[in-house]
Amino acid sequence: MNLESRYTIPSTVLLQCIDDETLLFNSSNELFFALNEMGAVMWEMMSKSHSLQEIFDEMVELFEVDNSVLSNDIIAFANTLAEQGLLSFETKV
Amino acid sequence: MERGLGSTVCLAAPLNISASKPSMIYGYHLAFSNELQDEHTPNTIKISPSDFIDSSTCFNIQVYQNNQEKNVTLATDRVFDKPEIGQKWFFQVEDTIEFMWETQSGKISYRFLAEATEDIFRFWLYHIVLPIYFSIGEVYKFLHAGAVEIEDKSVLFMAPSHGGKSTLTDYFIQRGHPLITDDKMATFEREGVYYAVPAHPYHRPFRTVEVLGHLCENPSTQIHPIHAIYILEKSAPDAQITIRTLKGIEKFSRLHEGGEMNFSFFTPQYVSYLAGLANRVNVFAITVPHDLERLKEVYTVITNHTLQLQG
Repeated sequence: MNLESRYTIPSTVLLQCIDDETLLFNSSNELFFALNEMGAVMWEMMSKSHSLQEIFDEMVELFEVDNSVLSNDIIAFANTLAEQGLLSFETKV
Repeated sequence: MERGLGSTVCLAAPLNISASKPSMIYGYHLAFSNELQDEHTPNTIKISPSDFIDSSTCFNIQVYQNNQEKNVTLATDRVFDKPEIGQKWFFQVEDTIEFMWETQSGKISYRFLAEATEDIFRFWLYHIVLPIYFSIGEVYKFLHAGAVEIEDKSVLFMAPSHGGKSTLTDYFIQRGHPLITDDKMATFEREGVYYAVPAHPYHRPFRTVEVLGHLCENPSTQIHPIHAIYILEKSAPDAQITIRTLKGIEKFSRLHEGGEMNFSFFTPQYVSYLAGLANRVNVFAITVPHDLERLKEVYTVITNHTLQLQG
């Protein structure tokens, strides 16, 4: 996986805000995942984009952070989501 | 999917279901009639016997052994997806009874099988079929909860099976609090407010197979906003009784655990509904000592706590 990776969000994944917490619910396995504040920001961007590069480009404008750190954080976050079935990455043939 | 419900032995449907039994169930009048009539009366469901229920074109959705020790089948006449108006639904309890209705039709027909009696018929109708009917018809969303009124406020008790909901609900009823429900809590949302709908006036503090329960002398007859939900947590017999406010994912998770009639085709709507409920209604966890002698303390704590809440 790298910033050029493209993804989709499965239709079984639902976002809900309860009090001041953001959670993702995967209806395919009925598991919940809480997102912290930064996770919620990234998910919001992911829901409107289709590639990690688009998210990187948007975040680098908003946050003062080293590009490599940001890139690694985005990829790590996306990896975690994919492992839990919350993101589905396209496989390049 | 397996087609058809299989062959069954049937008896002639009874001509006269007793009219003396309560007729207001889940906010609707139940009109027991020997014939299904075409006209539709608002807030009324017509319940009629049928000598023959055509199950030949149905697909089985779910076949399972209910906790009433009977095999039950829910089936429909088309691919199992979001319900459509006019879609036929069949519910069969092995050797006992069959029900059939169309989504939001306002009519339910039934056919007695070998082991049916009037009380068994009412058990399945009140406890199971009507909640399914209302869920599929998107009239109500259900929670697995007991509920009573505390000074005109609707208060719900939720817990896993054998978690003490019925015992606590029964304790409140014995002290004169109107019964809203002892098992399936019908709810709906209107303009951001979540309401509790009285179910039926029967209470089963001790769960006996296919028994309708005791007729409660003081059932709730009013629809009130849900004032508070208490999630019961069993604790040691000598433990202190504590109440803590639930927040965020824990609150949602506990409500979701108590979901009822959550059909797969409604999951996104049901999850969204629960989230709205979680954001609007006070939800608390209360430790309940595993000692019947201390129910009075639990009762007092809940009553005082509820009455101090705003709203």
